[in-house]
Amino acid sequence: MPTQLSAVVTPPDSDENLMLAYKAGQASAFEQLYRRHKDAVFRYFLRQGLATAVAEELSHDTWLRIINHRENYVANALFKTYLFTIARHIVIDHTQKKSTRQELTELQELAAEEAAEGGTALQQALKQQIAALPFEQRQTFVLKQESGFSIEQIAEMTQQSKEKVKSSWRYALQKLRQGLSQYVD
Amino acid sequence: MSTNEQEHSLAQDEAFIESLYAELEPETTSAEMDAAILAAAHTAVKPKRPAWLLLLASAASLLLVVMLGVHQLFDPQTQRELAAIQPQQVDDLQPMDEAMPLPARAQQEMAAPRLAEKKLRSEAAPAQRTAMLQAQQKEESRALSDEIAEADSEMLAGTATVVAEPPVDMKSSVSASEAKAKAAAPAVVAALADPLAGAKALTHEQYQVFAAHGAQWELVKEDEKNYWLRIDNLGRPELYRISRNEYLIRDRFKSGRQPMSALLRVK
Repeated sequence: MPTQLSAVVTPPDSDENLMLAYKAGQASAFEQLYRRHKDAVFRYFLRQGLATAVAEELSHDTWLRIINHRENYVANALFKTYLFTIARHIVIDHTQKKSTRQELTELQELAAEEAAEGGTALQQALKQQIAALPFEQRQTFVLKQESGFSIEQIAEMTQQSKEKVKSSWRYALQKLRQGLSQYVD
Repeated sequence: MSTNEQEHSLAQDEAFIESLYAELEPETTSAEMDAAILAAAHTAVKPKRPAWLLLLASAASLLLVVMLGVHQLFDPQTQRELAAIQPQQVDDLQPMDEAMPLPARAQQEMAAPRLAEKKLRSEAAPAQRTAMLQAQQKEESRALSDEIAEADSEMLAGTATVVAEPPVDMKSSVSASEAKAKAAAPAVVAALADPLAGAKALTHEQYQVFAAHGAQWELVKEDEKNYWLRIDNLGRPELYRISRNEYLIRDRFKSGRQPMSALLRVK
Protein backbone atom coordinates (compact mmCIF):
# COMPACT_ATOMS: atom_id res chain seq x y z
CA MET A 1 0.00 0.00 0.00
CA PRO A 2 1.52 3.34 -1.04
CA THR A 3 2.60 5.65 1.71
CA GLN A 4 -0.02 8.40 1.62
CA LEU A 5 1.14 11.85 2.66
CA SER A 6 -2.07 13.77 2.19
CA ALA A 7 -3.32 13.01 5.67
CA VAL A 8 0.04 13.69 7.27
CA VAL A 9 1.17 17.17 8.14
CA THR A 10 4.68 17.44 6.76
CA PRO A 11 7.24 19.97 7.98
CA PRO A 12 8.19 22.79 5.55
CA ASP A 13 11.64 21.36 4.96
CA SER A 14 10.44 17.82 4.33
CA ASP A 15 11.69 16.20 1.17
CA GLU A 16 8.26 16.37 -0.41
CA ASN A 17 7.77 20.07 0.32
CA LEU A 18 11.25 20.85 -0.96
CA MET A 19 10.53 19.00 -4.17
CA LEU A 20 7.25 20.87 -4.57
CA ALA A 21 9.09 24.13 -3.97
CA TYR A 22 11.60 23.20 -6.64
CA LYS A 23 8.77 22.31 -8.99
CA ALA A 24 7.45 25.84 -8.37
CA GLY A 25 10.81 27.28 -9.41
CA GLN A 26 12.80 27.52 -6.19
CA ALA A 27 16.28 26.25 -7.06
CA SER A 28 17.57 26.46 -3.49
CA ALA A 29 15.04 23.79 -2.45
CA PHE A 30 16.65 21.37 -4.87
CA GLU A 31 20.06 22.12 -3.41
CA GLN A 32 18.82 21.02 0.02
CA LEU A 33 17.30 17.87 -1.39
CA TYR A 34 20.43 17.05 -3.33
CA ARG A 35 22.74 17.46 -0.33
CA ARG A 36 20.49 15.20 1.74
CA HIS A 37 20.41 12.28 -0.66
CA LYS A 38 23.33 12.52 -3.04
CA ASP A 39 25.63 10.20 -1.09
CA ALA A 40 22.93 7.56 -0.55
CA VAL A 41 22.17 7.51 -4.28
CA PHE A 42 25.87 7.34 -5.14
CA ARG A 43 26.49 4.45 -2.73
CA TYR A 44 23.44 2.66 -4.08
CA PHE A 45 25.12 2.58 -7.47
CA LEU A 46 28.52 1.75 -6.05
CA ARG A 47 27.13 -1.30 -4.24
CA GLN A 48 25.87 -2.68 -7.53
CA GLY A 49 29.49 -3.58 -8.24
CA LEU A 50 30.00 -0.63 -10.54
CA ALA A 51 33.17 1.43 -10.90
CA THR A 52 33.22 4.87 -9.32
CA ALA A 53 33.01 6.62 -12.70
CA VAL A 54 29.98 4.59 -13.75
CA ALA A 55 28.32 5.11 -10.37
CA GLU A 56 28.80 8.86 -10.75
CA GLU A 57 27.41 8.75 -14.27
CA LEU A 58 24.31 6.87 -13.17
CA SER A 59 23.86 9.21 -10.19
CA HIS A 60 24.04 12.12 -12.59
CA ASP A 61 21.38 10.51 -14.79
CA THR A 62 19.13 9.97 -11.79
CA TRP A 63 19.27 13.57 -10.63
CA LEU A 64 18.82 14.87 -14.16
CA ARG A 65 15.70 12.78 -14.48
CA ILE A 66 14.40 14.33 -11.25
CA ILE A 67 15.14 17.80 -12.65
CA ASN A 68 13.62 17.20 -16.06
CA HIS A 69 10.46 15.51 -14.76
CA ARG A 70 9.84 17.92 -11.90
CA GLU A 71 6.58 19.08 -13.49
CA ASN A 72 5.17 15.56 -13.18
CA TYR A 73 6.04 15.16 -9.51
CA VAL A 74 3.06 14.56 -7.21
CA ALA A 75 3.61 14.27 -3.47
CA ASN A 76 1.56 11.12 -2.99
CA ALA A 77 4.51 9.13 -1.66
CA LEU A 78 7.83 9.72 0.02
CA PHE A 79 10.27 11.63 -2.16
CA LYS A 80 12.93 9.10 -1.20
CA THR A 81 10.81 6.30 -2.66
CA TYR A 82 10.37 8.30 -5.84
CA LEU A 83 14.12 8.96 -6.01
CA PHE A 84 15.26 5.40 -5.51
CA THR A 85 12.59 4.02 -7.84
CA ILE A 86 14.18 6.14 -10.55
CA ALA A 87 17.67 5.03 -9.50
CA ARG A 88 16.62 1.39 -9.61
CA HIS A 89 15.18 1.76 -13.11
CA ILE A 90 18.42 3.34 -14.22
CA VAL A 91 20.43 0.42 -12.83
CA ILE A 92 18.14 -2.06 -14.59
CA ASP A 93 18.46 -0.14 -17.88
CA HIS A 94 22.21 -0.05 -17.50
CA THR A 95 22.45 -3.76 -16.74
CA GLN A 96 20.15 -4.81 -19.57
CA LYS A 97 21.95 -2.94 -22.30
CA LYS A 98 23.26 -5.75 -24.49
CA SER A 99 25.81 -3.53 -26.13
CA THR A 100 27.43 -2.79 -22.82
CA ARG A 101 27.73 -6.34 -21.53
CA GLN A 102 31.37 -6.62 -22.43
CA GLU A 103 31.92 -3.18 -21.01
CA LEU A 104 30.05 -4.20 -17.87
CA THR A 105 32.38 -7.11 -17.31
CA GLU A 106 35.37 -4.86 -17.67
CA LEU A 107 33.87 -2.28 -15.37
CA GLN A 108 33.01 -4.88 -12.75
CA GLU A 109 36.61 -6.00 -12.82
CA LEU A 110 37.63 -2.40 -12.41
CA ALA A 111 35.20 -2.02 -9.50
CA ALA A 112 36.64 -5.11 -7.85
CA GLU A 113 40.12 -3.64 -8.23
CA GLU A 114 38.94 -0.36 -6.75
CA ALA A 115 37.34 -2.22 -3.83
CA ALA A 116 40.55 -4.10 -3.22
CA GLU A 117 42.63 -0.93 -3.15
CA GLY A 118 41.11 0.97 -0.20
CA GLY A 119 40.07 0.13 3.35
CA THR A 120 40.73 -2.95 5.45
CA ALA A 121 40.60 -6.47 4.08
CA LEU A 122 37.20 -6.95 5.71
CA GLN A 123 35.77 -3.82 4.14
CA GLN A 124 37.10 -4.85 0.74
CA ALA A 125 35.59 -8.30 1.18
CA LEU A 126 32.23 -6.78 2.16
CA LYS A 127 32.07 -4.71 -1.02
CA GLN A 128 33.01 -7.67 -3.15
CA GLN A 129 30.45 -9.92 -1.46
CA ILE A 130 27.66 -7.39 -1.96
CA ALA A 131 28.55 -7.02 -5.63
CA ALA A 132 28.50 -10.78 -6.01
CA LEU A 133 24.90 -11.14 -4.71
CA PRO A 134 22.15 -12.01 -7.22
CA PHE A 135 20.40 -8.92 -8.60
CA GLU A 136 17.17 -9.09 -6.56
CA GLN A 137 19.00 -9.92 -3.32
CA ARG A 138 21.47 -7.15 -3.94
CA GLN A 139 18.67 -4.67 -4.63
CA THR A 140 16.89 -5.63 -1.44
CA PHE A 141 20.06 -5.56 0.63
CA VAL A 142 21.31 -2.22 -0.65
CA LEU A 143 17.92 -0.50 -0.43
CA LYS A 144 17.44 -1.68 3.13
CA GLN A 145 20.97 -1.45 4.45
CA GLU A 146 22.29 1.60 2.57
CA SER A 147 19.14 3.64 2.03
CA GLY A 148 17.11 2.71 5.10
CA PHE A 149 13.94 1.49 3.38
CA SER A 150 11.64 -0.93 5.16
CA ILE A 151 10.67 -4.31 3.74
CA GLU A 152 7.22 -2.87 2.89
CA GLN A 153 8.66 0.09 1.04
CA ILE A 154 11.04 -2.11 -0.93
CA ALA A 155 8.15 -4.37 -1.86
CA GLU A 156 6.28 -1.32 -3.13
CA MET A 157 9.24 -0.02 -5.07
CA THR A 158 10.16 -3.34 -6.65
CA GLN A 159 6.54 -4.39 -7.12
CA GLN A 160 7.09 -7.67 -5.30
CA SER A 161 5.36 -9.32 -2.42
CA LYS A 162 6.53 -8.50 1.06
CA GLU A 163 7.37 -12.17 1.69
CA LYS A 164 9.57 -12.37 -1.36
CA VAL A 165 11.45 -9.24 -0.35
CA LYS A 166 11.89 -10.54 3.15
CA SER A 167 13.17 -13.82 1.77
CA SER A 168 15.65 -11.99 -0.46
CA TRP A 169 16.84 -10.00 2.51
CA ARG A 170 17.39 -13.11 4.58
CA TYR A 171 19.28 -14.94 1.83
CA ALA A 172 21.43 -11.91 1.19
CA LEU A 173 22.41 -11.68 4.84
CA GLN A 174 23.20 -15.38 5.04
CA LYS A 175 25.43 -15.23 1.99
CA LEU A 176 27.27 -12.22 3.23
CA ARG A 177 27.86 -13.71 6.62
CA GLN A 178 29.11 -16.99 5.12
CA GLY A 179 31.42 -15.12 2.79
CA LEU A 180 32.75 -12.91 5.52
CA SER A 181 32.92 -15.37 8.42
CA GLN A 182 36.62 -16.00 7.85
CA TYR A 183 37.31 -12.34 8.66
CA VAL A 184 35.55 -12.46 12.02
CA ASP A 185 36.90 -14.06 15.16
CA MET B 1 14.81 -24.79 11.98
CA SER B 2 11.99 -23.22 13.98
CA THR B 3 10.69 -19.73 13.31
CA ASN B 4 12.25 -18.42 16.48
CA GLU B 5 15.61 -19.83 15.52
CA GLN B 6 15.27 -18.26 12.08
CA GLU B 7 14.47 -14.90 13.56
CA HIS B 8 17.36 -15.20 15.96
CA SER B 9 19.78 -16.10 13.17
CA LEU B 10 18.51 -13.20 11.07
CA ALA B 11 19.03 -10.79 13.94
CA GLN B 12 22.56 -12.04 14.37
CA ASP B 13 23.31 -11.62 10.68
CA GLU B 14 21.89 -8.10 10.71
CA ALA B 15 24.02 -7.16 13.70
CA PHE B 16 27.07 -8.63 12.02
CA ILE B 17 26.54 -6.66 8.80
CA GLU B 18 25.69 -3.55 10.76
CA SER B 19 29.00 -3.74 12.58
CA LEU B 20 30.85 -4.07 9.28
CA TYR B 21 29.02 -1.10 7.79
CA ALA B 22 30.00 1.06 10.73
CA GLU B 23 33.62 0.59 9.79
CA LEU B 24 33.17 1.54 6.15
CA GLU B 25 34.64 4.86 5.10
CA PRO B 26 32.10 7.38 3.83
CA GLU B 27 31.93 7.54 0.05
CA THR B 28 30.75 10.70 -1.60
CA THR B 29 30.35 12.21 -5.04
CA SER B 30 32.96 14.44 -6.64
CA ALA B 31 32.69 18.22 -6.42
CA GLU B 32 32.56 18.42 -10.24
CA MET B 33 29.48 16.21 -10.38
CA ASP B 34 27.80 18.22 -7.61
CA ALA B 35 28.46 21.45 -9.46
CA ALA B 36 27.17 20.04 -12.76
CA ILE B 37 23.92 18.78 -11.24
CA LEU B 38 23.25 21.97 -9.28
CA ALA B 39 23.94 24.07 -12.38
CA ALA B 40 21.47 21.95 -14.36
CA ALA B 41 18.90 22.36 -11.60
CA HIS B 42 19.30 26.15 -11.60
CA THR B 43 19.17 26.38 -15.39
CA ALA B 44 16.00 24.29 -15.54
CA VAL B 45 14.01 26.66 -13.34
CA LYS B 46 15.56 29.85 -14.66
CA PRO B 47 12.69 32.13 -15.63
CA LYS B 48 12.29 32.24 -19.37
CA ARG B 49 10.53 34.93 -21.36
CA PRO B 50 7.21 33.31 -22.20
CA ALA B 51 6.20 33.06 -25.84
CA TRP B 52 2.90 34.82 -25.19
CA LEU B 53 4.79 37.88 -24.01
CA LEU B 54 6.55 38.15 -27.36
CA LEU B 55 3.24 37.76 -29.18
CA LEU B 56 1.65 40.39 -26.97
CA ALA B 57 4.48 42.85 -27.64
CA SER B 58 4.19 42.29 -31.40
CA ALA B 59 0.43 42.77 -31.31
CA ALA B 60 0.78 45.95 -29.24
CA SER B 61 3.33 47.36 -31.71
CA LEU B 62 1.08 46.57 -34.66
CA LEU B 63 -1.91 48.15 -32.93
CA LEU B 64 0.11 51.29 -32.20
CA VAL B 65 1.16 51.60 -35.84
CA VAL B 66 -2.43 51.16 -37.04
CA MET B 67 -3.74 53.72 -34.53
CA LEU B 68 -1.12 56.24 -35.61
CA GLY B 69 -2.05 55.71 -39.24
CA VAL B 70 -5.77 56.13 -38.53
CA HIS B 71 -5.05 59.23 -36.48
CA GLN B 72 -3.05 60.73 -39.31
CA LEU B 73 -5.82 60.00 -41.81
CA PHE B 74 -8.72 61.39 -39.82
CA ASP B 75 -7.12 64.21 -37.84
CA PRO B 76 -8.82 67.52 -38.94
CA GLN B 77 -5.58 69.47 -38.66
CA THR B 78 -3.81 66.99 -40.89
CA GLN B 79 -6.67 67.13 -43.38
CA ARG B 80 -6.35 70.96 -43.61
CA GLU B 81 -2.61 70.67 -44.10
CA LEU B 82 -3.03 68.09 -46.82
CA ALA B 83 -5.58 70.30 -48.56
CA ALA B 84 -3.17 73.25 -48.40
CA ILE B 85 -0.21 71.26 -49.62
CA GLN B 86 -1.93 69.67 -52.59
CA PRO B 87 -1.79 72.67 -54.95
CA GLN B 88 1.87 73.20 -54.38
CA GLN B 89 4.00 73.92 -57.34
CA VAL B 90 5.94 70.72 -56.88
CA ASP B 91 3.21 68.79 -58.62
CA ASP B 92 2.33 71.60 -61.02
CA LEU B 93 5.86 72.12 -62.14
CA GLN B 94 6.47 68.46 -62.82
CA PRO B 95 5.44 68.52 -66.51
CA MET B 96 7.49 71.68 -67.08
CA ASP B 97 10.49 70.08 -65.42
CA GLU B 98 10.12 67.17 -67.78
CA ALA B 99 9.77 69.42 -70.80
CA MET B 100 12.75 71.57 -69.86
CA PRO B 101 15.11 69.38 -67.88
CA LEU B 102 17.65 71.21 -65.77
CA PRO B 103 20.94 69.83 -64.61
CA ALA B 104 20.57 67.61 -61.57
CA ARG B 105 22.43 70.01 -59.34
CA ALA B 106 20.11 72.87 -60.18
CA GLN B 107 17.10 70.67 -59.42
CA GLN B 108 18.58 69.76 -56.08
CA GLU B 109 19.15 73.41 -55.28
CA MET B 110 15.53 74.14 -56.08
CA ALA B 111 14.28 71.26 -53.97
CA ALA B 112 16.41 71.99 -50.90
CA PRO B 113 14.52 75.10 -49.70
CA ARG B 114 11.21 73.29 -50.18
CA LEU B 115 12.36 70.42 -48.01
CA ALA B 116 13.57 72.81 -45.34
CA GLU B 117 10.22 74.61 -45.37
CA LYS B 118 8.34 71.33 -45.12
CA LYS B 119 10.41 70.44 -42.10
CA LEU B 120 9.76 73.81 -40.51
CA ARG B 121 6.08 73.46 -41.24
CA SER B 122 5.90 70.08 -39.52
CA GLU B 123 7.66 71.42 -36.45
CA ALA B 124 5.70 74.67 -36.11
CA ALA B 125 2.57 75.21 -34.00
CA PRO B 126 -0.82 74.91 -35.84
CA ALA B 127 -1.45 78.70 -35.98
CA GLN B 128 2.07 79.39 -37.16
CA ARG B 129 1.78 76.55 -39.60
CA THR B 130 -1.29 78.07 -41.25
CA ALA B 131 0.41 81.46 -41.57
CA MET B 132 3.51 79.83 -42.96
CA LEU B 133 1.49 77.85 -45.45
CA GLN B 134 -0.24 80.97 -46.73
CA ALA B 135 3.02 82.91 -46.98
CA GLN B 136 4.68 80.04 -48.70
CA GLN B 137 1.86 79.68 -51.20
CA LYS B 138 2.18 83.35 -52.12
CA GLU B 139 5.92 83.08 -52.43
CA GLU B 140 5.70 79.95 -54.50
CA SER B 141 3.13 81.51 -56.78
CA ARG B 142 5.46 84.45 -57.30
CA ALA B 143 8.40 82.15 -57.92
CA LEU B 144 6.29 80.12 -60.33
CA SER B 145 5.40 83.24 -62.28
CA ASP B 146 9.06 84.25 -62.43
CA GLU B 147 10.08 80.82 -63.60
CA ILE B 148 7.42 80.74 -66.28
CA ALA B 149 8.47 84.18 -67.50
CA GLU B 150 12.11 83.11 -67.56
CA ALA B 151 11.26 79.93 -69.39
CA ASP B 152 9.28 81.93 -71.96
CA SER B 153 12.16 84.28 -72.58
CA GLU B 154 14.54 81.34 -73.00
CA MET B 155 12.19 79.69 -75.41
CA LEU B 156 11.98 82.94 -77.36
CA ALA B 157 15.73 83.25 -77.40
CA GLY B 158 16.04 79.70 -78.69
CA THR B 159 13.45 80.40 -81.34
CA ALA B 160 15.31 83.56 -82.34
CA THR B 161 18.52 81.61 -82.67
CA VAL B 162 16.93 79.04 -84.86
CA VAL B 163 15.10 81.63 -86.91
CA ALA B 164 18.20 83.76 -87.24
CA GLU B 165 19.96 81.01 -89.12
CA PRO B 166 17.40 79.32 -91.29
CA PRO B 167 18.57 77.27 -94.22
CA VAL B 168 19.03 79.30 -97.37
CA ASP B 169 16.11 77.71 -99.09
CA MET B 170 13.84 78.52 -96.15
CA LYS B 171 14.57 82.26 -96.08
CA SER B 172 12.40 82.96 -99.07
CA SER B 173 9.51 81.00 -97.68
CA VAL B 174 8.78 83.26 -94.72
CA SER B 175 5.10 83.98 -95.01
CA ALA B 176 3.26 87.24 -94.50
CA SER B 177 1.54 85.89 -91.42
CA GLU B 178 4.89 85.17 -89.84
CA ALA B 179 5.98 88.69 -90.62
CA LYS B 180 2.85 89.98 -88.88
CA ALA B 181 3.62 87.84 -85.83
CA LYS B 182 7.14 89.17 -85.73
CA ALA B 183 5.89 92.69 -85.93
CA ALA B 184 3.52 92.05 -83.04
CA ALA B 185 6.29 90.67 -80.86
CA PRO B 186 8.97 93.31 -80.29
CA ALA B 187 11.10 90.92 -78.21
CA VAL B 188 11.27 88.48 -81.07
CA VAL B 189 12.15 91.28 -83.49
CA ALA B 190 14.90 92.45 -81.18
CA ALA B 191 16.20 88.91 -80.97
CA LEU B 192 16.17 88.63 -84.73
CA ALA B 193 18.09 91.91 -85.01
CA ASP B 194 20.85 90.62 -82.74
CA PRO B 195 20.76 86.82 -82.45
CA LEU B 196 23.66 86.83 -80.00
CA ALA B 197 22.09 89.32 -77.60
CA GLY B 198 20.50 86.61 -75.38
CA ALA B 199 23.73 84.63 -75.00
CA LYS B 200 24.57 83.77 -71.43
CA ALA B 201 28.05 83.72 -69.97
CA LEU B 202 29.22 80.14 -69.45
CA THR B 203 30.42 79.54 -65.91
CA HIS B 204 32.95 76.92 -65.03
CA GLU B 205 30.31 74.95 -63.07
CA GLN B 206 28.02 74.87 -66.08
CA TYR B 207 30.96 73.76 -68.19
CA GLN B 208 31.53 70.82 -65.79
CA VAL B 209 27.85 69.88 -65.80
CA PHE B 210 27.76 69.89 -69.60
CA ALA B 211 30.96 67.87 -69.75
CA ALA B 212 29.51 65.36 -67.31
CA HIS B 213 26.39 64.99 -69.46
CA GLY B 214 28.44 64.59 -72.66
CA ALA B 215 26.92 67.72 -74.19
CA GLN B 216 28.19 68.94 -77.56
CA TRP B 217 28.72 72.47 -78.81
CA GLU B 218 29.11 74.34 -82.05
CA LEU B 219 30.93 77.60 -82.62
CA VAL B 220 28.52 80.30 -83.80
CA LYS B 221 30.73 83.37 -83.78
CA GLU B 222 34.01 84.67 -82.45
CA ASP B 223 35.71 88.03 -82.11
CA GLU B 224 38.85 89.31 -80.45
CA LYS B 225 37.48 88.83 -76.89
CA ASN B 226 34.76 86.17 -77.00
CA TYR B 227 33.46 83.01 -78.54
CA TRP B 228 29.72 82.36 -78.96
CA LEU B 229 28.75 78.72 -78.68
CA ARG B 230 25.50 76.89 -79.20
CA ILE B 231 25.54 74.12 -76.59
CA ASP B 232 23.17 71.17 -76.83
CA ASN B 233 21.61 71.03 -73.36
CA LEU B 234 19.88 67.62 -73.34
CA GLY B 235 18.36 68.17 -76.76
CA ARG B 236 17.68 71.88 -76.29
CA PRO B 237 20.15 74.31 -77.93
CA GLU B 238 21.31 77.17 -75.72
CA LEU B 239 23.52 80.10 -76.67
CA TYR B 240 26.52 80.86 -74.45
CA ARG B 241 29.32 83.40 -74.53
CA ILE B 242 32.81 82.53 -73.29
CA SER B 243 35.85 84.73 -72.92
CA ARG B 244 38.96 83.98 -74.97
CA ASN B 245 40.97 84.74 -71.84
CA GLU B 246 39.45 81.69 -70.20
CA TYR B 247 38.96 79.26 -73.05
CA LEU B 248 40.77 78.37 -76.26
CA ILE B 249 39.26 76.72 -79.30
CA ARG B 250 41.77 75.30 -81.75
CA ASP B 251 41.14 75.93 -85.41
CA ARG B 252 40.34 72.31 -86.20
CA PHE B 253 37.46 72.38 -83.72
CA LYS B 254 35.85 75.55 -85.06
CA SER B 255 33.54 73.80 -87.49
CA GLY B 256 30.90 71.19 -86.72
CA ARG B 257 29.72 69.77 -83.43
CA GLN B 258 32.42 69.17 -80.88
CA PRO B 259 32.57 67.52 -77.42
CA MET B 260 33.15 69.68 -74.35
CA SER B 261 36.68 68.28 -74.10
CA ALA B 262 37.51 70.21 -77.29
CA LEU B 263 36.90 73.42 -75.35
CA LEU B 264 40.26 74.01 -73.66
CA ARG B 265 40.28 75.91 -70.40
CA VAL B 266 43.36 78.14 -70.30
CA LYS B 267 42.81 80.02 -67.07
